[in-house]
Amino acid sequence: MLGLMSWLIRILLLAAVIGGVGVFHQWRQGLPLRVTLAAEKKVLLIGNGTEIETVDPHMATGAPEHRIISALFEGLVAPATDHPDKDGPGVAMSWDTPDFITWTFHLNPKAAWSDGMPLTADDFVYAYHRMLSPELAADYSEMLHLIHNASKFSHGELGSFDEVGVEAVDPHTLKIVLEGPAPYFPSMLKHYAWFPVPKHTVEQFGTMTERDTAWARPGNLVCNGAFTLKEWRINHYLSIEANPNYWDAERVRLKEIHFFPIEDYSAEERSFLDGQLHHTETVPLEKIAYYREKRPPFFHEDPQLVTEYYMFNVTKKPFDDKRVRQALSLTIDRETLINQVLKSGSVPAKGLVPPGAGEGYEGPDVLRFDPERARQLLAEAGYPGGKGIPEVDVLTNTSPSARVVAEFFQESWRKHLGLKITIRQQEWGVYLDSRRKKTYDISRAGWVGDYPDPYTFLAIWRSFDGNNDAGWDNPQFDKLMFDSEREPDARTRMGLLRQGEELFLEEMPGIPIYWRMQSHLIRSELIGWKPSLLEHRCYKVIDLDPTRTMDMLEAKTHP
Amino acid sequence: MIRFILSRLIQGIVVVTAVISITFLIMKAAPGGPFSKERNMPAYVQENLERIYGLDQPWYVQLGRNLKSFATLDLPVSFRLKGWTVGEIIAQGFPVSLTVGGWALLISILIGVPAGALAALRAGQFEDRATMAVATLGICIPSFVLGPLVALFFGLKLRWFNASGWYDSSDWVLPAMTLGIICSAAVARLTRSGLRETLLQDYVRTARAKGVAEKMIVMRHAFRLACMPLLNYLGPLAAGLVSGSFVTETVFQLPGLGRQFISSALHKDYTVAMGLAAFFAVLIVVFNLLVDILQAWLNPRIRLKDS
Repeated sequence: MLGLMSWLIRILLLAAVIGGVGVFHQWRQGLPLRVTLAAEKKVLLIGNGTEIETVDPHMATGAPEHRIISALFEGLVAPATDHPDKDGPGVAMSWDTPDFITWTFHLNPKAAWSDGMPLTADDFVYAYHRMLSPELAADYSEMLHLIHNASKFSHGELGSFDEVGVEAVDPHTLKIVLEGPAPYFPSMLKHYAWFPVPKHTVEQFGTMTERDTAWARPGNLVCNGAFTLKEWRINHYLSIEANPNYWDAERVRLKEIHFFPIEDYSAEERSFLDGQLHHTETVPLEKIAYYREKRPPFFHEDPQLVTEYYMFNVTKKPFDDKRVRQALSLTIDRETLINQVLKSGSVPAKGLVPPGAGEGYEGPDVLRFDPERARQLLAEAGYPGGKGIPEVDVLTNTSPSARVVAEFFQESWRKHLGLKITIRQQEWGVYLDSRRKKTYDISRAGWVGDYPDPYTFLAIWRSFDGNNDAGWDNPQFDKLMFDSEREPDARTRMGLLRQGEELFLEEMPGIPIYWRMQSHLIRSELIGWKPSLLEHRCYKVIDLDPTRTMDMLEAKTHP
Repeated sequence: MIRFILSRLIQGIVVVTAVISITFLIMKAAPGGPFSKERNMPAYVQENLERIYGLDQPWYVQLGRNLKSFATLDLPVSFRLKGWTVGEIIAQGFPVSLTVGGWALLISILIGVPAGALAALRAGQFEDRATMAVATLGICIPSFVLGPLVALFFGLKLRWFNASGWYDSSDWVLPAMTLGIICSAAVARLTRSGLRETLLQDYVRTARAKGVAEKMIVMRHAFRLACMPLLNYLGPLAAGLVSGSFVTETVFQLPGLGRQFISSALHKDYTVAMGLAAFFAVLIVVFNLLVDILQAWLNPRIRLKDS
């Protein structure tokens, strides 16, 4: 009898536990998704990669910073509402130039700081003064060096900022004089290095050139963009809210945007599947093919102004011989690498400058896969069948795709040229250090364009450029770049740049591999989002429509 | 007792100073610096930056300056997160790590101790073998495997909890479960061996001979002593858990100290890495001291003396 009772109690207990779990399950399953709740409140949730370092436009350097700062601040020119890569009015309503050297910007009288103070031409003079000051040591100060005398000023060779080519003609007119003609100048002004900063706030927390002050922290920051900074919790999220003092505030649809720093690709994908993000920064490499085929409504691939390449240490034998460099390029089957191995959707490079970099620019199409010719070139250089070439050291960083590419090259060069390759993967900071110190034979590299013009991809190959880690020194190339900087006619200028790219591809100090395509997962609630070559976003036209919600697992085709 | 605690505190100060210095020297010795970026910085900017932050001075001057600022609690600013001090960064991350780590510790004890005790009392029998087999499996599974599995099943499949993130009050559950399950394996093994050993001691035999009930023997007499090896392990474990786990925080996207520590080391953010290493060292010192005091209280054979 007692035994029966104890069994009965056990069974009842078990039933209670199972019942409890069932009730709990029902309750949790019925909870709405975060993205749905957020869409109803017009709060956009975005994955933003690495945690940002700052929202001070003059101290920032990365793409995650760019995505946040361009919502908080606005330059003279802003991404156009119909397409973010076009130039639309920002603080300046319009601009004119007779010769691409002297530029006059007519500022919007309605432009104001988020605390209500008016924004005038003097604010831009102050901002460029700060950015170029040697004491601030801003990483991107070089971007402003195309202004007349700016380089001299930031090298400390000029006593007064008055001699630099920036002038506030009146509160609503700004004049900028450049060193030479730059037809691409307006599009460059969308970069945060050119954004204004509020003198009254910067100097409330320190001097103009003091680093590490608290002016750009939540609660203190005063900005002039469509949004203002609300909260920033490190490694957690950064939130911004609509700025009522923005000159075009009526157009802004979203109430808030939350940026989540998620560095791990798989963790970001899980967050998206869990209904926590409307937009991911990227997609794990191995999942790209799956989403492209199985979940097309959510999968987006946007071309970027980015070239992935391998560069040679041309100061070292045998890579001081251009025939060896050409031979290595000719043995790369870019189509197979991208379509069969990486499956990333990126575009096999035909040259150095990616498509879309500069209106009216047609790059050369010379990169080929021709192992026969490669072997011939290698023999001509004195290394028939790879004989005489010691083991080659290939340097890469630790990203998953970097490893895959390096292994593909290792095999290609072994198979077609008989070269022995060792791959050296180094952690990011160490890898950059090895590149700079030229302790490598061949190194992986990538370049992100700053503005849509071929010059941004070519100028880094000038012999004196700080980013020329290959050690390539070609006076003819330097001359072409120098001439292009001073050429007033747009067509002739493009011709000079094209000659420069042809020379680069003939000399081959670097092997362009592919033009990067950026993959994203985007929920259907998000509307008004347009792809951009430079990740420019016109946040004020982006909106959320909670009625467009779609089940992630069931939606297999476009609605 | 007070002399013992004081001498431990002095030892602790030496340990923390050594940890800060070693962290700094190792980071200095590694290639690259806090300002390395894919885009090369112009030479004049690099020079100015090094001057502003005193990186152009000899290493011992830099080390001395850092030690001084930690000693006076005038905490230095981060190289990477511009304008944030090390103290602010720890203040934001620690509550998260403490919540998850505290629950994980509790879970590991709640699972590990009864399981280990069961195994010890049924030594050599099915219960013992089964528990120890599971525990061995638990020790072998790394958190970067268990974490995503837990997130997939309880997060994405059953939708009981958020698969990642730190938004709702229940977001500690999955990461704490992951860490707790993994740690409970070691806790179970230590409990088992401690209790097994104690049960074979003379005073337990005496108690049995006197006819004390088995329940009393285990709970009153044996268990106190059996906890000793476990407590020695729990001190550093608790310090490790509440200071954050890099892997678990990455898998579940928690804004804790573990992620911050690794990213500061990778980005050569000297000040933050030193600050977090020092913080971690302080936690270990404190928890070890607590364990010593607890052990003296539990075991009358231990008397705290100035060593």
